Amino acid sequence: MKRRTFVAALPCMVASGASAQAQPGLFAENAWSRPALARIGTAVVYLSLRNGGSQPVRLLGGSTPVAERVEIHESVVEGRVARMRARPGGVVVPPGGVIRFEPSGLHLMLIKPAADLKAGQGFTLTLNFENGATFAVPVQVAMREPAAGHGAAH
Amino acid sequence: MNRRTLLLALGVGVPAGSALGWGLSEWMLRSKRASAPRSSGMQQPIGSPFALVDHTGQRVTDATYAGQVRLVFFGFTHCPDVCPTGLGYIAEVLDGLAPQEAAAVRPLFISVDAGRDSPELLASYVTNFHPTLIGLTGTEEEVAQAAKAFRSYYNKVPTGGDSYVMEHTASIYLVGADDMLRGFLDTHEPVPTAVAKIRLALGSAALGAAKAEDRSS
Repeated sequence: MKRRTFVAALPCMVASGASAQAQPGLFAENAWSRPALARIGTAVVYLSLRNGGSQPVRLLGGSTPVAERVEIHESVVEGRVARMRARPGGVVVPPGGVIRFEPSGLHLMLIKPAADLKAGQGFTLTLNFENGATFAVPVQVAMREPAAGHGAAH
Repeated sequence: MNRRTLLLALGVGVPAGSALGWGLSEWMLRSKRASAPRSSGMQQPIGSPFALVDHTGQRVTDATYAGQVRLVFFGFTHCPDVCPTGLGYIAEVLDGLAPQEAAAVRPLFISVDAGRDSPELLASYVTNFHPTLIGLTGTEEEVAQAAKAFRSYYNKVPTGGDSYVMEHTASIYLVGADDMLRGFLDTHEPVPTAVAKIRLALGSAALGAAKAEDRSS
């Protein structure tokens, strides 16, 4: 909760760090991934999508050279039980809104990584939007969520 | 409808109807129970019995870890989000303890995916998170028994083709040296909160050991 407030309060600082812009007003921030084993066959990417434009934007999915495919999933913890749901229809980022892909919630699932992902490594994730826009986001592999605004620096 | 038919209808229909109603309510209750497992009460003995194999290939049972403060987390290696989040949190919490405190805690990751999680796969998985993390797996029956011992729920969910995911209890159990459930760690809580919870459990473990020493001297 604390971190959310922090990110929201310091968008400029975040934008100067680990941020990429797809189209005017649309930003991907703090994209990171966890170390993963290729033989297990799944990996994850978390990021925040901030829409400073006046139109809603729908993220449909993505692609990356490091995995066979990318799907939008959501973990839902009900009671004490964790379940995973696919979100094939994608996710809408409302104008002026932020959608956070974060641990135990929405996440981009990488299916069949081609090789192990190791902490410290970086790769590119291309996000695909319903309006035809695509955008390449640099992703950092780390054990823990990089501190907001310093994602790419360490 | 004559009187005899009416009586017959009542005689058969009413008991059959009530049996059906009872069966239905039982079935509904059961399905409700399945989706929302019973809450695990605090200060109840938990986690016994089980027999599993650890990620080094050693056979272990609940007795292997008895008398020690334990963190117990159920999950599976193919889980991309919730399990790494829980294990990453456990790793941070262990690093937040003093080394001698962390050495007194047994962090157990129990796989609910007997079909895919071999000890060898668990070994390459758990050591990614923390060197002291212990991965446990077993046969389907052994895993089911371990889950039962912790009043934990899991279920296999097909996701197309031969792929599947497991839905599972995602709480991190904090079990005292006395085998009592002391509570749960929550990954949404700041790490120092979890560290404090573990210190409380360790404190009472030390107290228990001191008392036992008093009694024996």
